[in-house]
Amino acid sequence: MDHSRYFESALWPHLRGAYNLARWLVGNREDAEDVVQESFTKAFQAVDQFRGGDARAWLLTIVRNTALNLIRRRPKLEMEWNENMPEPADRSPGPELELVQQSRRNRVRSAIARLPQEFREALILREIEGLAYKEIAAVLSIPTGTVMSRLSRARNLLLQELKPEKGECQ
Amino acid sequence: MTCLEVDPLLGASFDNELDLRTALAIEQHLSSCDSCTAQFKRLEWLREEIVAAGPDWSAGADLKVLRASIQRPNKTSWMPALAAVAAALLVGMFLPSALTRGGNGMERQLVDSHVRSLMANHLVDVPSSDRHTVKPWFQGKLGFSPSVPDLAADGFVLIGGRLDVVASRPAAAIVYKRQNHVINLWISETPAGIRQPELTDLDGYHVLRWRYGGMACWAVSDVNAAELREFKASYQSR
Repeated sequence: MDHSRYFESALWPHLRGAYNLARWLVGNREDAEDVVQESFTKAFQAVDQFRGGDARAWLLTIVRNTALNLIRRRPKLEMEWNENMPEPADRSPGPELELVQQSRRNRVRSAIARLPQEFREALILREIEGLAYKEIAAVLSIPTGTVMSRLSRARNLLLQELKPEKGECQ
Repeated sequence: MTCLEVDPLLGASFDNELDLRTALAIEQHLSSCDSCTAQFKRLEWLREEIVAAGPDWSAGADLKVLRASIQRPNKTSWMPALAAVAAALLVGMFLPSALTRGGNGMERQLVDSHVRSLMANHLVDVPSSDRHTVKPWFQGKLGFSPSVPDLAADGFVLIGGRLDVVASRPAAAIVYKRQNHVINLWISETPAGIRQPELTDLDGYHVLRWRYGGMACWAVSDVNAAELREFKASYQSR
């Protein structure tokens, strides 16, 4: 397997994460698909600049830059946070619980969607994509200490918004 | 450690991102501090809520289609690019004569280009109603990436795209149809110039121009002016 084939096979598994990050940043499906397409094309073209290491962080960095470029160019849009938001597949509660859980899930998603971008991206990379602080720092081009403070700010904003009922987290 | 020292590190401790010594010091503090323990539990509660909300957009996306739409690195990809450059040069050769024809050079040139695209059987280089085929086709052929939205819901069907030249600059020509009427939309990186009328009528065609995100856009068609404005609004809303 030559270098570029190897590189290709190292990138494809991260298509999922690339789409999720793009979708959380740009706020709608079409733009997210455009961002992912453009990012992979850029990544393939830049194969010579990739010196091994973390292919995922490298790809997500490109995705983020491409997404931010797009956001800068276009008028500000509302994030379509709940439109067609997929329901987790592994959960099938009874119908009586379904409505309650649905509204609870929507509350969390909309709270994440309303986070300022720099907190939202850090949170998504940590909680959904499961990146380590060092990897998040690389993707966002910030020091690890800043990752720590942004995550903590993101979580406090969410906690304020979602306010656990008394006793709920005892 | 005091609460004041622990507080900024609590998240990192929760994420297992601290070195062993600091992690142990925090654990020790937590064992004797109710308020920091409560905050730690709030973090746990939040993570459970986030996991339950399943905020992963990829679950509802068709990643197979998306993957198929991505152009793989291709060793022979210079061939179509070369053909495109040749086509652009050929179009460019026709244009200077249009510029000397008096009237408003730019509008005249665009209408001529529009008419030529209809009769020369060279409406599109990439015939496709799939935006995922048309948009990537432009990549690498132009210094910018034009937006190619699917406007079928608004009654404008994507026909394809081709390379063109407008005012001596490479431009993307994206072709839509409303019923039987062809709409040519040119997009080019042109610096903001003299203000020209937004809508011009020429030989029974309408030319609508606007700027969008640093790009100059021109739409030319024989649909009526209101429909052309509708097209612009539809294009810009995507």
